[in-house]
Amino acid sequence: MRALPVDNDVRLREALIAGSEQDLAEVYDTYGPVVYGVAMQMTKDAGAAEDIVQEVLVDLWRRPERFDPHRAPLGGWLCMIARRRGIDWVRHHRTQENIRAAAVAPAPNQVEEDVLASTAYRQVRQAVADLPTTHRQAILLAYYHGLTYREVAQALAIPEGTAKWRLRSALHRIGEQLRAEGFEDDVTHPAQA
Amino acid sequence: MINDGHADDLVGPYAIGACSPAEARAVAGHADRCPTCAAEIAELERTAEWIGMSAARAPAPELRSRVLSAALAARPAGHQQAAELYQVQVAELDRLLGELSLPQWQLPSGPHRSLRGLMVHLHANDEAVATAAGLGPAPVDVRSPATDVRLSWRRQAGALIEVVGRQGAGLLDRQVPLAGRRAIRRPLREALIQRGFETWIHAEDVRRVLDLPPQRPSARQIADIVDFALRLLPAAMESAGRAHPAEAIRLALTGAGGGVRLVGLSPQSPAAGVVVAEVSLPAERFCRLLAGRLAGAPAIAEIGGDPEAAADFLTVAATMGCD
Repeated sequence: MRALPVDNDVRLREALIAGSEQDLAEVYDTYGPVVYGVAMQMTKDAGAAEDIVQEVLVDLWRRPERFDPHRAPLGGWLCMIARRRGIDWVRHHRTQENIRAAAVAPAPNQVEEDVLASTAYRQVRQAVADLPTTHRQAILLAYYHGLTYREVAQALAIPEGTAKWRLRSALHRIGEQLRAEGFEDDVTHPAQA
Repeated sequence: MINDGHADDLVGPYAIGACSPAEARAVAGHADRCPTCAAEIAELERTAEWIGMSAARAPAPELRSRVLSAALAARPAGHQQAAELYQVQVAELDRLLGELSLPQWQLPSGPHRSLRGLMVHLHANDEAVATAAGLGPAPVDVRSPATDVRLSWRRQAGALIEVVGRQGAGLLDRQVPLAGRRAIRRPLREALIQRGFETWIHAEDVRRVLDLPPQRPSARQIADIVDFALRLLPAAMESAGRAHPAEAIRLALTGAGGGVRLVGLSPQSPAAGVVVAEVSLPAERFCRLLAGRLAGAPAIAEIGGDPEAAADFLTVAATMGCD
């Protein structure tokens, strides 16, 4: 099990509550790429992804006390908020066409020159890529397109029970592969990745 | 939905937010009692976090200064802001009180029998915070008709602002009681936002008596009031018996101090929750609603999605004033 809270997260939270601009910049430098990456992966739109980064960071700055370091590491929490904003955006802009396209797409295609691709991140991407196609489709539709499992079932023309099971099983497979590769530590802080 | 006493395959969709709100509630409720499912959910959520982190990529370099300036525009760095905004409202209310004739002091205002009664009430709410901040009790009994309530109130508010300016950060972290119908303690920093909020609302009450047009606070103060109230809202939803676990409202506030906020509808999930309704109205109007100054007003907000969740949200929001 991970050890929470992460000391640095506790410190950052207090500093943000105190109104430290310098620590806000540290949060941006550390987690901006993650928030941007999640938003970009979901929206496929640089402008929308930048807006999401701004909303997430401004929101953290305005209400830092909402982040509870005892429940999640800061990186994971920001990721979750970014995803919720992304789902909001995707649901507003979704068409049947891009759901169909997503259903047949391969694993998320990161740009080759991505300088941030640490070993840990590459391992995660590999674990997603290694999933059976049926599992990968389900996870990508739910995670990056914000579909509920019922919508996943519809998009893939499979029974709802199958969609539920694939999501659960896909997460287990990814987790097992990563834990087998020593992923028990906190990789959500990029400095430790 | 929950089979054989367990959440089964639903834990997968739940861990990545792909359930319906009703299912999310059922799973969350079950996981509270079932360590097996709770452990599996924690593990799957962790994996979902890893997937998110692995998407990291560098944004355009210009984004950094854009985000940091937007943040500082929304909330300046440092501590003094709340005290300064409060000071502005104190000065304005004091100016308005100076315009009241003796008979006007006796006119009723809202739930108060007279404007004098209103100021005694404001004095008492301020005093609870001032005392907790270490100031001595008021040297006079403001209830006594012989006391100059305006002067006593102004001195006390001035002393509070002064002590915050002198002691700064440490004092602002001190837990003090908030005014309102629920007994809540929050850091002085937040109590000052509430003091500024209540002082503005009572200045509006006095303007009404003087037949002066309403006045809007600064965008900064409106944003502070909104954020202050929304922090308290999930707990208020619960104590009002109107919590919606695992559900959230998308609150789109227009005009000065506005912006889009996601508001959890129960204290169990203040940050998370599936958005079930959208509520849209001007930010200033929302502040008046919070203060209970829109009672009976028609069509307070535009509502989309689940009307029951939106109505519960607005009903509880309207109870968050200081009267």
